[in-house]
Amino acid sequence: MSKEGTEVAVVAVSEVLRLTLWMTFVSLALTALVTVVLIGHHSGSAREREGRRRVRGRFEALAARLLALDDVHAAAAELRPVVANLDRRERAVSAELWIRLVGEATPERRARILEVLREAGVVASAERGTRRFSPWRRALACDVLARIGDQRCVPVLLERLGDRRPEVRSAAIRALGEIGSPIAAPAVGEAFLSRRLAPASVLSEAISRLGSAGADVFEQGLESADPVVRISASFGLAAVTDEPEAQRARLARQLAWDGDPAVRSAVCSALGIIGGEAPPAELVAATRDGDLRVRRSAVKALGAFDDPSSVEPLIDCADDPDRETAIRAAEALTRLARRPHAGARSRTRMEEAPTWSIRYAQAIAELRG
Amino acid sequence: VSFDILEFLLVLFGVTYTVSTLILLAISLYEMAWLARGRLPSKHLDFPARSPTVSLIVPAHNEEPLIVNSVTSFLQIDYPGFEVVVCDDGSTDGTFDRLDEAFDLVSLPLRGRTELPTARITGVYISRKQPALMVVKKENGGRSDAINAGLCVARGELAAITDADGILEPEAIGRIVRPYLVHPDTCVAVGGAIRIANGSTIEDGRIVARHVATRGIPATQTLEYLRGFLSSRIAWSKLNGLLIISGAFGLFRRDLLIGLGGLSKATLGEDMELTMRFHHQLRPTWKHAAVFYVPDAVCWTECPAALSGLRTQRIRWHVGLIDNLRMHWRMFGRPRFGAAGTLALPYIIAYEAIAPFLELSGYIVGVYLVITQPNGWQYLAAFLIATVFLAQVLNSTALLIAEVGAHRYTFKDMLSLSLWGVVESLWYRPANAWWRVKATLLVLIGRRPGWGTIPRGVSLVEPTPDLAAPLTR
Repeated sequence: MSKEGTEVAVVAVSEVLRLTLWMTFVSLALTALVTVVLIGHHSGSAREREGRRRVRGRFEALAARLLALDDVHAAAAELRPVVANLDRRERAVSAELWIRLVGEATPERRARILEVLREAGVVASAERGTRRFSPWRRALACDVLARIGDQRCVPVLLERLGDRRPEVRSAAIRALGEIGSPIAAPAVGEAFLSRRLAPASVLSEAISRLGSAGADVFEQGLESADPVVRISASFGLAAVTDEPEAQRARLARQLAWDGDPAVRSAVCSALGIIGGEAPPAELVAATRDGDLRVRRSAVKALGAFDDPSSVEPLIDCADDPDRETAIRAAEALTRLARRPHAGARSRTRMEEAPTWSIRYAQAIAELRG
Repeated sequence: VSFDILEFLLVLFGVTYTVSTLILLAISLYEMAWLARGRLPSKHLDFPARSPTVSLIVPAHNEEPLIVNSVTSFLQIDYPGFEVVVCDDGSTDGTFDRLDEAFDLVSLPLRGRTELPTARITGVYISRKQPALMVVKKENGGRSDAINAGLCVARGELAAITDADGILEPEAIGRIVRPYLVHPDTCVAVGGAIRIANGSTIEDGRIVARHVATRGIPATQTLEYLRGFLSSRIAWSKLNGLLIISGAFGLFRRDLLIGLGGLSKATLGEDMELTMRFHHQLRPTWKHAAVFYVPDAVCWTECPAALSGLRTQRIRWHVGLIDNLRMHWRMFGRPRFGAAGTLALPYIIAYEAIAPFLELSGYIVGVYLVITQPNGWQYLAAFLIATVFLAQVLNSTALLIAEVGAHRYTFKDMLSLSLWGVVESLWYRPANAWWRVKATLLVLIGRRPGWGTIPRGVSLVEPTPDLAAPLTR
């Protein structure tokens, strides 16, 4: 290397050296910081676990004693000062305890627990919790309100629909669904139709608990220009089982006019969830749909309709060139063979036309039931 | 001038890598904190009355010693509507016979063309003792081919894929399904976490005591997996830019996977290729299609314990990476592919494909300066110290994320991992950089490595072309 080249190299080396030393310094500082946090967290979490275990034990004993009392008011009076003086850790532990107690209780016992909790001020405490700084505490408070199911909490939960964290919004929507107040229908319905605030499945599940108000939202959803909303609305309508006849008819109409195969496939599946006796003509026609997804969903759904007229289209599909369609049709026939109305016809036709798919489905059904 | 360019590249690489990695770490830490608090919405979901059915597809080639234990362990997984589909990919040992003896297999009729072309399927069986078990017997076609055959025979709405030597935690399927339950309209695939089983105690196909291996090669890989699976994948998942779901444990919508043509036989990195294909083919028309990652859905696997096995594995992985970048480079920088095209792909190209050259050149220049310059040792020392401490930032943050989440280690194990992390820059990273450079050079001169022999796993045969055959007997 020439003298000039060596000088350039030395200058470059010194600059690289300076930079690397800076990087080293910054890295060292960061490593030290993270290590301190790591050690602190490791030791702290062990203490926290132990503390939570102690608090949980104390609360469980208290809850067991109070809930065994005959007098709801006396139990609530004793619990009230405890609830009012909970610290940060105790609030979280007690919230989880209330959720578990209510979730595990029988319906009669649940009513009694809820009465005690309401009177003891747990609702007010949880309402305050929905506005705390920590997002997971806000979400936990929404869960507590969901379990308590007090209609008076609906405005507080509706306020949480504007929360900046999606997890909190989802928790609030689930809580509104659990409470099942029709007051929530416009806000949750609007969010569902415009696909805002939370995943469609969370919104759909909440709406399906809102009774007839929910069914109206799903009906509107079927008119949406957004295929995802139409798909969610189809399943949602199937989950609202108030008027199966009307819901079948509405879905069948959708199946007839919807141009999107993904939606038609979902509508077929939704019809299969509702089931019934005579299958809609549109569903039978869908077993001959040009789109494979629709055909597969249709043959599967047809197995949920206990009617002899379901059998013949399924026999045709049991020999479908598409392997999946053929197997699904055979499985549907096997299912129908155990039903009171379509059973005899299905068994006879399967004996007359024992395609490979029928033998396949029968062998599996024999072992899996 | 050459030093100026090298200096500029090293500085640019160092600064951008540090900044982008720290951002990813911060996102991962935040997400993990939510998960640990149990406040993610998915954590609250009870399984609905009609949960999606799941088929666990297990390709197996010459797995006679472990297949019965593995399958027994898979069948104990707690999930409603679950089946296990083992694909015996032309084993020449007694893999199928062991399965037949243990589970009493019954032959099912074979007709109809499979939706994906595969090597000839010679039998499909169901177990009398465990009706949730199906076995596909087929001619040898490689791992991707075996999985494709399993996809065609499986009946689940979702298909989970794992290896025969993988150990799934009992709740793994229930956890990995949750993103699909919360986001059924957008979730197309979900990746699970892979943890290294070397050093842990395994009984009856279950991990009963979790420990870090004492030997350097597996211990360093444990740290590397922690960095990969906890530090970056959580963040990429949050940004919807996750470009790889490990072949050792992933969940896919079966219809979509078949619709996209199944796993590719044209690359050595079929798991990454599939994930990239999800983005490449779906995102332009399905903007919200999302690939998720669930850090608490865990599959344990044994990593190579010897340097030769590790070398073979890494060269193969890197050739797979180059294959996949060549196949999907068109996503580069294009917003229509979301973060996958604008962030993740540039990141992978810079820090996975190009970085090994810079890293290796750093070591070579260091040695060169030590030989030719009186103060050259300072450069090498500074380079090594910077590398060590930069790596330590990542290592300690990965350990912190593990600590915050469900991947806790004892103080002793954390100390051991940290020490191996300090010394990895002296041997593991240079070796890795060299293997990656070698793999790139192999691709550039048109040579491809075979699968090689890794003394631990499956899929040892390179796929042969066009073995499409109808599913008939």
